[in-house]
Amino acid sequence: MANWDAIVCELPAMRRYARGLVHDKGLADDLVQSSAERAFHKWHLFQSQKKLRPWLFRILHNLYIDYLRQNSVLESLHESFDHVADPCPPGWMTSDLTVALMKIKPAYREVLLLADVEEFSYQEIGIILGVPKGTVMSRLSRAREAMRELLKEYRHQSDRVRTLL
Amino acid sequence: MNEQDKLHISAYLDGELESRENTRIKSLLLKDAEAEQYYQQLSHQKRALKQMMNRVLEEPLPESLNLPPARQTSWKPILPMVVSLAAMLLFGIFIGWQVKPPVLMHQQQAFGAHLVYASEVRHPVEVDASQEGHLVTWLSKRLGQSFQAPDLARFGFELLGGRLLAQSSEPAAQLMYERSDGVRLSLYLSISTDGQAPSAFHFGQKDLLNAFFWSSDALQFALVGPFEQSLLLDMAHASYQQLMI
Repeated sequence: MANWDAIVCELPAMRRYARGLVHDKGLADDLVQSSAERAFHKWHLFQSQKKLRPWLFRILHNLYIDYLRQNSVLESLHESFDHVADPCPPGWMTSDLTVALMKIKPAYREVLLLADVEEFSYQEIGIILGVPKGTVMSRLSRAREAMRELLKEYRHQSDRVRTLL
Repeated sequence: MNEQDKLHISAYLDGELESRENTRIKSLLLKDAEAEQYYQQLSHQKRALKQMMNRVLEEPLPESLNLPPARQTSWKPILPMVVSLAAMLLFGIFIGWQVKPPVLMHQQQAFGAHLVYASEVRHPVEVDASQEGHLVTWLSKRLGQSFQAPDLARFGFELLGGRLLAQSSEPAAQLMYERSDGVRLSLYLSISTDGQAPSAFHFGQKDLLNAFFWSSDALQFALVGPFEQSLLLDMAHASYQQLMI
């Protein structure tokens, strides 16, 4: 099955993206699996002159949005993590970077991961998220600014702890 | 450096600026130290994020992800088959009544155990809280994983005690708490099945009862009671943190 093989080649990157979005390993893999299956069954909708990767990520984005809609509880949970010292269950990466990534808005998280980690062009990100290129540019800039502010705050906190010790 | 500059520095980092703007930012970075520092910070963030997320690539793919899904076919030629499958499905549901997937089973049992025992006036628990040490040791031993009874006093709940239960053919346990107005809260624990990934909080509802479910590598938990979602979530969160120690 050539179609399936082409999809499988992109699975590692799709897992990386999904993990950045939801952090829960099981949930991320479920998202990837559903996306891969949907892509396989909707293969006739894929226009072969176009690139496969953005098309697959667009499917993943749509499923993620569905998930956010269905799970407003989980999202509010992330907000309630704000006052907790260590929001990560055992086995998760607990660096400042992870915490900051968890705290920014889902829309920021998406555009940041697509640009910085997956290295899509702004045009491709626009296709994936279904927004104009100019929106990608400004949203990404705001996302980076939000991350920078959080990381600065964490650095100050850890500096303060260090001086106390 | 104004907002427009920040926007363009961000796009410059991705090589997404048109040539005139690109030249402008290039020379801005040369003469404006603040802009240059901003650029360095974004660039550092970008590299760090990529490096962090790349760790996922080193993990082996889970088996389930590698299997090709079943092919979908058009409905009409297979209509007779669909009808017979539907009949089999009904039969399957009948059988499935007894053989439920472990997670669903855990959730239903948690609600069931609460309904049955929280309403018991005289015997809500098998071992009461005066023997908490014994209770916890005993239940930990039966479930094959040591745990403490979470302290929920700051929410106004006192431990009443607990009991050993059965879920399918495995041991399970229930800890019962009570508030000063007599309303009860239960924490239900059962053994995680092999290969089950730890999960975040999930909300569930049955009649007037609300519940939050979560799981660790070894145990699945359910906190059940007739309480508002937000209060229950706070208590689930507190329990989760204490149970992880």
